Amino acid sequence: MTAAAPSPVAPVQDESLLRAALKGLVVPLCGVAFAFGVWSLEGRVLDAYDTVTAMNIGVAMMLAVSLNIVNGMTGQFSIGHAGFMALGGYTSGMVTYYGSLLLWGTAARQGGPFGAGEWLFAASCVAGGLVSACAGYVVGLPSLRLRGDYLAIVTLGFGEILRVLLQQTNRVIGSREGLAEAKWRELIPPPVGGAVGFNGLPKYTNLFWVGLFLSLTVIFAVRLKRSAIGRSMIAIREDEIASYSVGVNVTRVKVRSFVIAAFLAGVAGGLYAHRIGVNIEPRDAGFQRSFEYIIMTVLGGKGSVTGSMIAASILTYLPEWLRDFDRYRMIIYASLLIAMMLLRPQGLLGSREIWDFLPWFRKRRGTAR
Amino acid sequence: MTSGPARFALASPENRPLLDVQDVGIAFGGLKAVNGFSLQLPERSLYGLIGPNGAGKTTVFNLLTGVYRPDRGGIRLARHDLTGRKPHEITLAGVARTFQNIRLFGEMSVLDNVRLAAQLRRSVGALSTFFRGPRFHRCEADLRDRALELLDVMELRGDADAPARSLSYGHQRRLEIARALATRPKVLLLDEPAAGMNPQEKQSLAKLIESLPERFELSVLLIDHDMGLVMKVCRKITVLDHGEIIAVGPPDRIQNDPNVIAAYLGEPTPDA
Repeated sequence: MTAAAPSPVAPVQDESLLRAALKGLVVPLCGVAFAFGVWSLEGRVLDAYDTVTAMNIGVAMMLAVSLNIVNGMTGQFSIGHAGFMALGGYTSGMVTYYGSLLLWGTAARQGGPFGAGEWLFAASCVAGGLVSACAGYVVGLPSLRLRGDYLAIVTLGFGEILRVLLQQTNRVIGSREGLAEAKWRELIPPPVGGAVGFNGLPKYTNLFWVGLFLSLTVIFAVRLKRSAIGRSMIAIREDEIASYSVGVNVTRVKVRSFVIAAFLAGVAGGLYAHRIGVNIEPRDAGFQRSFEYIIMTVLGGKGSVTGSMIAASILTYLPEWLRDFDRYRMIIYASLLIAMMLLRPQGLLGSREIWDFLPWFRKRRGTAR
Repeated sequence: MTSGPARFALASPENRPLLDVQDVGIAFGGLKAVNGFSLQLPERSLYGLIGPNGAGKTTVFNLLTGVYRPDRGGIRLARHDLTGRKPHEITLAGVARTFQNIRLFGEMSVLDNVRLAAQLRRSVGALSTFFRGPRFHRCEADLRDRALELLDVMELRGDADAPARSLSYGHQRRLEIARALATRPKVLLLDEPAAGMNPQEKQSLAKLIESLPERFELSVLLIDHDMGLVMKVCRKITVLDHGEIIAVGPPDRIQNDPNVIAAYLGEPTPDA
């Protein structure tokens, strides 16, 4: 093995760089187009019931994809994902509810599509994401010292503590006057409804916003996986000692993965809180819900973005579909999961993505990128 | 800490060693795994570290790379004090290693294993990762070119897209070297790189290791049980036994050193 002269590597031209950069923007724009597409189905192809199911699937996909960043890519077992979702949902709900009260004197919906109310809602989702991200940072810190089961217990604790705290919150204040006259003890802990849940939130969530935030989440997750940050995350999952030996700042990458996942879960929580139908409740922060998302990521395959999306849609739709067999529903559901784990323990797609199974695509991706 | 700055000040800048290890020791419970280990590694040198099983060779590597924190002593790389630094900081300063029990990122492709190591000192933020601007693409393209170059050197280019765990044993060892080189080290620590290789593979590995110092402007510290390899490649050797240095010198002197012979079960090693 003498030192042969390295064979020439095709230089990347500036033109292709520019094109690649344009492509960088085109894909998110496609996401926006997708959002308009699914929105246009609302009321035409999908009736009210289907629309709610579709929104549930979209939100579940966001949560499964974001959890996959921590559990699947970085390999840090977190059972607190519902906590991040609930925190984002409550934050976002507070912003729209009390924001609406202060701005317009009523918590009812303001304006039509893309009216002032919807923009407040979109901003509130991002705000929910940011608050969740801060919590993700705090929960991510113990992950530096703990691993495996111990970390799982800490994250479990986070969700459960949050659930109990949310139960102890104050009653929702119903009017602007009430808000103005409220005493401190009515505002702290925050007036988000206590054990009965946060009622009366304006129902802004529709398929457009779900489609938009979902596609941005998915684009981000896919791009993350194929980037420097994603590689260091996967490396930590594969072998922590080897990763720091090649200079990966394990501490920073782990915390970063928690922050990113919590942010995305918080945004999804905002969408969840403003859905038609049920309100957001303290129960939503509990570990049962976290387990649903863990099952989705495990079923989809560790680190597979599209895999967890497929699993999320199946597992969200399945209980609806099995509703006809009401009494045996959960038994069938559980048996299917067990069968799945026995037949395909690595998950639906393993660590690959759905397009990795298309031969021409695989060839094109190859060493090139 | 027994080694103060004064001890380093004695060496003049010209002949100051690249890696200077002074009287390093660590104990696990009552067992002194490494005791009073010192080493001066000059620039662009090939240096061997040998000793019977359990002598503490890998522990020395773990001390040098920050996996263990030394109980005493000091480690310097050029102007950096590496004593007690975190492993990734030590890699950043310029010490890279391979592992005795291969530690590759099995699920990742061969290319990504090397590219991950090459991305040290080049950071791209989360936002840039989302928008994929020109800077992101230029950075990724550079990393890829650099990684492919190293795979060419290690003759692994053909397997670039395969998952690392699918490689044969010898190829995995070479990939570990490629990955370590991708961090642009000044000192490369090779922990039994020839283990499990057949004679032909060993021979080409020896040639490769000999070419590394000039080609990549680094020094190599080599652990191996294959005396033939170590004696052939290294200009100077340190012998450890029970965590302590029992001999230091060029290969021919080490071969005839009575202490070394005694350490290896009282008879000359067959390859020597």
